[in-house]
Amino acid sequence: MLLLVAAIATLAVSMGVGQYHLGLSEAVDIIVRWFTDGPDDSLKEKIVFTQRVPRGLMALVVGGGLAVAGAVMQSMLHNPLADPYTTGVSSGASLGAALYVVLGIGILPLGDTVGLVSNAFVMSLIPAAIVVLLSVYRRVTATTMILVGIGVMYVFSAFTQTLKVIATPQQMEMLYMWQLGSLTQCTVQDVCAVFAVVAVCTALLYSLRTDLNLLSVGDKAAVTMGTDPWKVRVLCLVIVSFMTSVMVSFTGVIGFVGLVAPQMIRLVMGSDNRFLIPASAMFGALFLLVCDCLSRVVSSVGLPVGILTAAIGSPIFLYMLVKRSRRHTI
Amino acid sequence: MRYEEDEDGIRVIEEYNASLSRKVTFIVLMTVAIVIVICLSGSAGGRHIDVMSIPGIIWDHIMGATYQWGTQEWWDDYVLVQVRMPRILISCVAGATLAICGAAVQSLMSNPIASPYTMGISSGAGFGATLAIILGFSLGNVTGMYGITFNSFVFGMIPVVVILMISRVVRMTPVTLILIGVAISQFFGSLTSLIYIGAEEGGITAAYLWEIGSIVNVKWADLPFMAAMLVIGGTLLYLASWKFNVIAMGEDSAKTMGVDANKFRLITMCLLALMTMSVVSFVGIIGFVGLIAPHVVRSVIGSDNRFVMPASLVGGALLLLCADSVARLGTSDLLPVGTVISLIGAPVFIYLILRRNSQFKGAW
Repeated sequence: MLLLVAAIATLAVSMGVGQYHLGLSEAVDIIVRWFTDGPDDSLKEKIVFTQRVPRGLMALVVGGGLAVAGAVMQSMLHNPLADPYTTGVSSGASLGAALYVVLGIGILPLGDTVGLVSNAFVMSLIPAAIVVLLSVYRRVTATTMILVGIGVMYVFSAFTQTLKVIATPQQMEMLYMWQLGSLTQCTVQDVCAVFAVVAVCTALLYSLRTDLNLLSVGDKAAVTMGTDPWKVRVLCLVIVSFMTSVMVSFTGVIGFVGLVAPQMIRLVMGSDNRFLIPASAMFGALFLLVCDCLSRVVSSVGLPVGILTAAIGSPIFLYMLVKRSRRHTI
Repeated sequence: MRYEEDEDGIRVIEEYNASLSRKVTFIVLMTVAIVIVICLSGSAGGRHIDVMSIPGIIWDHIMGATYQWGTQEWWDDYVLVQVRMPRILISCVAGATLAICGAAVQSLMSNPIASPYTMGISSGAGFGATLAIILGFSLGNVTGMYGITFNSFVFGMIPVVVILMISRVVRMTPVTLILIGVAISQFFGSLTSLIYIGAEEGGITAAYLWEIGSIVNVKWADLPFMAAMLVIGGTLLYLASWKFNVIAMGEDSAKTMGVDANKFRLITMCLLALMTMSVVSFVGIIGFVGLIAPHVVRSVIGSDNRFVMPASLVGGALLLLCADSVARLGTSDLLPVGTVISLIGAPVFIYLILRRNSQFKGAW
């Protein structure tokens, strides 16, 4: 609950921060007036509604989604370092983006505006698809799942490299921007779409919470309690990958949120997935929003938020990893 | 000597000798292969030089033969010695260094998929060098080539320190090690991209070529430092190879044999980072050599590090030499050698995972 309050407060602050300075109270005032009196087309209002609101909301949604994805991956794969990004989704998305930017190939015939997004989406599903296909032929363990994801990641980045070699400098710059992850270009429609997907997927994952708890105790225990670990794993993987793919294709690669948020929550409230999933979502949302605000404060040009999450997230993550797992094998 | 009279004992000794000679033969064969590939690769390219004449030209050059400018011999000599040889030799040295580092780190961490690249050391070093190249920023008061080298060493040490710190407090599984490597690479990768975005437009492509490893624009002057690092580091590693064997048997048995595993690990990792950065700061980040070469070597001659180390060294040189020749001749330098290696190496990585090498079973 505390986290929820904090998230809302930060959202309000984030409305005020930015190139065009608005006071906190002024921003809140504008939003309140919009709800009570209807729109009045002033410049300030435009800024708030076309820039700040979608961006702030997107940060919340994506941060929450990434954190949930990370929490679920970590529970089901028994590894505090598992995260959809470290296991392949980001590399698939990058390759998709590179295909579009460099070669102009759209995998789905949807037209130019959504070409990059749809490409990134389709390609980012492939690592998970490979893992799932593989697990049809033999029952893969948690370890194999992670490693195959990483292997696919290496293959994909080899192809992305090849494409980048033939890219022009402008194309390279575009790709690099995309890879860093940024929330600048999202519209209200984007936010709605992503929110719908994240909400549904999170609800589905939350409904699997007891199975996930059993899995994190151990595969044998899960079998004894009547849960098939393999089925749960594949199901979770599919949902998580889908959700992450949607997010990554809109915002680019924003790393470390899925690693840091669940870890932080585990430290405070333990690993019970019934609480872990919602709390991680809240914390992830808060974390990304704070990073996004910081990125606007730090530089007026707008430092890509992916850089900040990496720069802030990785030391925290490392510290917690060492602190938490003193007694465990990871 | 009673043991030798025993028929079983004699058989065991014979088998040992046989396997010993097989290992030595393998290493010798690969060395011969390198020489052959050097000649082949030296002969091919824009100007064709007869394969058989290559050793002669090199010999004459070393003996100080001079030719009149513009003659047939002068051109042969110039193209071979000034254009092709630096590239060929540097790819050999770089491959050898990366492969021996890979072999060492794999047995040190009892982890068949560890290598300077998968552990993030290369990307750390790469970030340091990018800082120096594009922003001209260097830690310490050294500039120029040594600034780049120094920077890449400092940043290459970050992943090493992180990994050692974590492995000190927890027993790390191979998977975790790789995940940490991925996270570290991601971290440095995003920082490096940030620098690129700020860079001038034309600079990006040039810097990027460096980021994925390319041996196109190398000079003779680049060679001495790399070669020296390889000779020093390789000798040290070879002298310590029995310690690697002892550590592979477990920390307790290492202690009994008088090897302090933690201390040894720390010192060796520093040495490995130093060797890796000597390569990375000249030719960029070339991945997977340290993964493929030791693996192939182990599958042929077993996992005794006294042989794996030199054999990996030779194998890595051969591998990178071939890959660079493919990049130069097969794709006319359209693809950098780093990409060629990744396209081969990434599938090998997957294969390694699915096969789960039996010597490392305990570690998985």
